[in-house]
Amino acid sequence: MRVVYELIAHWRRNMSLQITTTLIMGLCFTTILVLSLVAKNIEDSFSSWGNKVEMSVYLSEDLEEEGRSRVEKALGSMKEVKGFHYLDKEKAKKLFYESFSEMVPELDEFAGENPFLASFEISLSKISASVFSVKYLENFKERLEKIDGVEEVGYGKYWFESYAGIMRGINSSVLIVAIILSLASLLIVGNSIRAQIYRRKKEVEILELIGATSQWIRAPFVVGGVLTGAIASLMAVGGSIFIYGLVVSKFSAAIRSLGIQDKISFFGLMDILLIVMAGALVGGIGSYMCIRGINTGWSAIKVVEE
Amino acid sequence: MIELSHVYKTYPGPVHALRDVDLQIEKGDFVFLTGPSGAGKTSLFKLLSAFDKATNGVVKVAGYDLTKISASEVPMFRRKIGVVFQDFRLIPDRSVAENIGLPLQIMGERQSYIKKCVDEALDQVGLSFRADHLPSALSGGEQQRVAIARAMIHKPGLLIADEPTGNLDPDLSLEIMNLFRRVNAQGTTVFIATHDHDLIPSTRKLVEINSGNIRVEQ
Repeated sequence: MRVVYELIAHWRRNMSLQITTTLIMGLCFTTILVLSLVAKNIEDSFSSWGNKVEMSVYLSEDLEEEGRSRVEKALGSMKEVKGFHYLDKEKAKKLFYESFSEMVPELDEFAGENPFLASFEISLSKISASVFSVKYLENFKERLEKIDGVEEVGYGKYWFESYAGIMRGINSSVLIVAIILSLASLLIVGNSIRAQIYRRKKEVEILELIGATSQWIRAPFVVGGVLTGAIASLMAVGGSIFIYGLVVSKFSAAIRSLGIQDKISFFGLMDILLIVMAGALVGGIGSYMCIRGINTGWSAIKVVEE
Repeated sequence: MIELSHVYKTYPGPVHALRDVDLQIEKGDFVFLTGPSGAGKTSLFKLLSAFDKATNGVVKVAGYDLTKISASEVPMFRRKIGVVFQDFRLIPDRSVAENIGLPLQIMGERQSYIKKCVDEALDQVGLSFRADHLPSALSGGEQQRVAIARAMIHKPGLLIADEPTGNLDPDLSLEIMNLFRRVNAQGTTVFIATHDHDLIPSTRKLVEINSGNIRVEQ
């Protein structure tokens, strides 16, 4: 009760300083949140594109029914495989003619022959951005090719190679900028907490002088830090919702054209709760570290030495 | 109340601030500590208030052996004494009543009891009409009276004051000294460091300090 009373009294007496500190923390947290949101949405979009990657597992020409079942069973046991369907020689030929006969009339000359192989068309499970790469797909391809009865495996490697490179580049850049700005933001948060507490240095010395214990002195500062951090992170959530809405509406056409409109989202309720808790933790720890530096138990010595 | 035995305080240099100091102050005494600047008054004051530890010897104050006191015991010891400074040391953004009530608040007393004690203390120092004012609205003499009220509110057995009239004019200084006399008359041991000999009545016990050595005059 005493802590709450002191906190309210202190905030009322130092309203402008308290508002400034909370705003600075709020702005820093907003920067971190917006960058995290960008990274999260790139990751989600990345994974969704990963889901769209399909591979064709071509079977050997002379593979019997039993061999086909073996391959089917092997594919079904692979966690990377989300689903697959069988495409026999005739269907493959038909699909090819449907797609290309109008553009290349000479194809009719080969109408009697069927050079196509039967295949399993597989779609991949969700791949996280951190492992999504050509290497990942190449490794998987090699594993597929080792299955008895598989002739070869194909996918749009060159398209995919450039695409993955660009997306990974964007993701890495956002992550690096997010880390740098987060560190800078935490430094600013630390400094604003320090500035606020150092203004009350004399008060701490006097409290020590008249017999206040460390716990008694530190409690209002730490609780104040926790509350300031929580309020600042709530402000940051509000700020990032606003920025998110603004960006999504401004770039809605581009998002739709990329086909990622259902992948772009804000943080979930649990994420928001964690964000507020993290903000409170940063505020509390920052305040504790700072007040610990002043409230040494012997800082009142300085009173006499001055 | 205060017992110093073969006390030495040496700072890096080495600077010998106190040399082989022996001193006994009984409960209820009113003692003045005097001496020129740099004589060791502040060093002695720091040892008696547990703001520093002696290099050698034994310092016992209000039942605590300050040479062996742990950091966690220091706040408890400081609650047994009252300290007054030349520059008052009031918290600027708390009212006079809040400043005076702080030691009781720290000790966890109930609000109603704190209010009663603060009212009594304000009455004793003649500042009841200033209860809700901030220290900055008070004169130097009034601020020092607030500081004394704060040092006395928890009824400590010992009151230590370091140059309490150093920032005050002669009339205000006498007023403050009268206040200390009243405190002492209530049974509190009073130990005052001052360089102003005019304020020291001839009937009082006087401790003179010079170059770290002390001489006691009855």
